[in-house]
Amino acid sequence: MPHCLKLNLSARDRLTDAECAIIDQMGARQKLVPAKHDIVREGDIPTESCLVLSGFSARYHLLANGKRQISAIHVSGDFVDLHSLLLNEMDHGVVALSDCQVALVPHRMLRELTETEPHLSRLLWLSTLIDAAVHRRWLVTSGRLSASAQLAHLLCEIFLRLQVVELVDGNRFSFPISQVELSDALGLSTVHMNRTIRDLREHELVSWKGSEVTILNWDRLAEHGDFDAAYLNIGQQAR
Amino acid sequence: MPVYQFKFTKQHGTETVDGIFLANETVLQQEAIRSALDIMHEGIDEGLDRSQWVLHVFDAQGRLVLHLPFAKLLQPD
Repeated sequence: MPHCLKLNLSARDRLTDAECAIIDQMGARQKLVPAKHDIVREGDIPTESCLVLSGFSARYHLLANGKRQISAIHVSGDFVDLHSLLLNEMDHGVVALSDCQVALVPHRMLRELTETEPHLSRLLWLSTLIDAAVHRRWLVTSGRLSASAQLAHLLCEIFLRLQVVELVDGNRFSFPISQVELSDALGLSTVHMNRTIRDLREHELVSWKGSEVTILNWDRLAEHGDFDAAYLNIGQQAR
Repeated sequence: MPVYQFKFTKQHGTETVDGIFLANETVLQQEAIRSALDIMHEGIDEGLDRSQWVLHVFDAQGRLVLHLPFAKLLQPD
């Protein structure tokens, strides 16, 4: 059941029991997408939107020269292609970075929801607005911050997004993403990404063992990454 | 996939990055140039001139497969 979507939305506003019941129905059809496989491909015209129930996925664009740019990372509780309800053809792909359990929510159901559930519709709209805010922030960090500051910012963001869906353990979280994928997300060479991770470790901002990341000093990491969580709009208020 | 070691010779000392998997020689060339440019750009942001750094790449058998003085990237074609 898409408990993670309830956590995600209720971190922004209170959900009614009836709204929770509707969200439960969204989990009726599920599938497991293995790591490195596409969830949605560029050019697809989806008839359903995918909600990540577990695992990490990424939006990506392939360039003519074969290079890949990751433009977003999605965690549990995120719809990866909610916008396909209105935009039709996918202008990018979505790949599972780890094994992903996804719920397939028919567009028909989402369309009905927009007609009968104005508050829940606004919350789903809000989630696309937060997606856009994250995109804007990534643009700013990639254009104006050093590699290690960009990575610090990304780790702060991922930590808070995982905290919302109760997937952090104290100051520790699982982040099963390779250095190649991280370098595709931050627009850096893999070698420089390796150096950048080492830099954060050597400054004792994070510990990174396998896929487990521990934030050793939140204040210093956030300061280093010029991180301000306001764009994530975490906090219950009437929407 | 072949694995490589990237060794950067700096003004003072060296820095090594191990375990870089790259599909083929073309990708290796691209990664070498891209990493050198990333490191030079980082230096410029910090007010450091790294144009005298040199990159050596070794394969899994320890053979030198690529030699790239950063200064070469600053020369016109």
